[in-house]
Amino acid sequence: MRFVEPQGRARRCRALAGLALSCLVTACATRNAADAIATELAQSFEAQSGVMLDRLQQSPDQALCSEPGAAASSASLAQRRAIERAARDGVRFPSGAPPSPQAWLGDWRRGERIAQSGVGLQTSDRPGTEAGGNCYGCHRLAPTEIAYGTLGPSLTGYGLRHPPDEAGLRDTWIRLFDSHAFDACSVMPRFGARGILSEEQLRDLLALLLDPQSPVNR
Amino acid sequence: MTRGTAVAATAIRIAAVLPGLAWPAAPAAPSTHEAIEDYRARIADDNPAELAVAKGASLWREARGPRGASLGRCDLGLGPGIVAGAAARLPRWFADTGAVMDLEARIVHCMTTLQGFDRETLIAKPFAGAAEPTTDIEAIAAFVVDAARGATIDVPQERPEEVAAYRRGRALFHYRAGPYDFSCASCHGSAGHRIRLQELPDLSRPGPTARATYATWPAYRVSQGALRTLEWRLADCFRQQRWPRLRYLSPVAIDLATFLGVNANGGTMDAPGLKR
Amino acid sequence: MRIRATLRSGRIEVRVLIAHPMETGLRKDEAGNPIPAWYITDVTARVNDRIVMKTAWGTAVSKDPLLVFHVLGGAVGDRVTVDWIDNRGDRRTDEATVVAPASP
Repeated sequence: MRFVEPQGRARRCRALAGLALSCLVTACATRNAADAIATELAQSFEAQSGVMLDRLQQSPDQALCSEPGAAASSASLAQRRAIERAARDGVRFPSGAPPSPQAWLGDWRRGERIAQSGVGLQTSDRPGTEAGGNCYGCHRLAPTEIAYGTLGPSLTGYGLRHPPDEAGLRDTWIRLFDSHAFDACSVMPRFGARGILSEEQLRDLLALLLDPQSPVNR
Repeated sequence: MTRGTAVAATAIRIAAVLPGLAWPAAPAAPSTHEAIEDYRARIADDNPAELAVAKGASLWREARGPRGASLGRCDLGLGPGIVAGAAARLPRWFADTGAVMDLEARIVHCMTTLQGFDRETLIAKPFAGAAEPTTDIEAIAAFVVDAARGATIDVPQERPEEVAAYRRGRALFHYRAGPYDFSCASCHGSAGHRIRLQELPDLSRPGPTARATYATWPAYRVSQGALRTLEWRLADCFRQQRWPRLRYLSPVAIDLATFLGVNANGGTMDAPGLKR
Repeated sequence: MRIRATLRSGRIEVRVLIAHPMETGLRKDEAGNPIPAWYITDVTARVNDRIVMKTAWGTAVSKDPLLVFHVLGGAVGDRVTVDWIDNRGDRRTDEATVVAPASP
């Protein structure tokens, strides 16, 4: 919160002081709301099936993007860019080989199953259950699957629009691994960075998206 | 997996392996939505929630519990014993507890103070499990909300506690956490989207979807084969958000119910509803 | 049971909402234990004590089923009785009086 220097005429001085005061009040209100809910959160949830209360502690990304409008506001732009850079730097690419379809693409059939599966990491899942990506929850993929969500863009034909060259492989992998590399407040879960999916699973999803034989591209 | 979802999953798999048939390549949303609405309209007159309402009505009247009392003197906010319309004005602050309470918290309060039931036993299992009958709380909630059908939603923001509950509820609604970074707003923060085939109402601000959504809870949920309450729905959302388990009647639950309710003010109650 | 009986165009429309788990015996609970079969096997409907319909049900009928049927003839004031028996031997009976349709 910046302190606004009064300048110019008395009227403008008062208006700016009023703005500073309202900023102070808003910032205080935001901080108080954040403190109030921090206590409540600890009282209102309990651990179950391996899901512990530490999941409620926010990372800086989460805290920044919890402010309504933060995703697009100019005030948070610098912080968002910093988060995006850090996310990009933190991406772990498939071990060993440089990007090539042979080295990076897994099995699109397994990828389709991962995209269909919505289990994992819930209090209703047995601990250690392999997580799916639940991609169809938000995206359209194979055109024959009509039960798809619309929270994210359609990925049907993705491989036709993004050929599996080095750039296409890297960018797609980055998006799957850590969506915050492109958009700090992305709604898409960070499947690699948060350890939701394994490297093998991510390679299978890469194949679902980029393999010319994948139903997504036929 | 319930039978409803098993049938639906099979239907989808059949569709997926028969691409030669005339499944529309265009988005399925309009025809699916219409089909669901048509199904709902045809069974709307015979919502299985009526069974829960009937059970709740007799639980309300019957002298029960260690004190052998009925719930006839229960104050749901409009005065002792007044049930009609009370659900349209909840959550609200109550003088006798000095706290903002939602419908379920108030029912549990009356069951413990008037009838002598043990609070810990009640809140340990508020929701029916697979093949179990509707719980007392679910049935009474259905009865009370049925008595508000047609009433205008008017969740108060008169006391500072009520205003504070709304503000905390709004902050909670946007609070991103967990391995998926999900908040309520991740799914319910904008209009016109769906998850799989389930349309997602925008609950982040007052508007027609906020009103229509709050107005239809509690509801008979066909995929559950059971009458489910708003707190059940909140807890199930958090499960899918990969959060820990929401405690029944917790401050978070009540603050979120307040946020959702106030955003629905001006709407018309139409509960128990009927949902997939 | 909740029974509604309405006289429309010379027929009695009967709508019965039944509370019953209708378990097939094939499901498992959260702990993985099989849930025993528990379903209605027979439903009988009478108008003024005369049997108008007998049905045999099984596991294909849904939980909390809605039964709708029409009886030719009949008049306002007739008594409609529905009873069911399930595979455990539990039984229920309920009745309703035929009414004219509510005015629009």
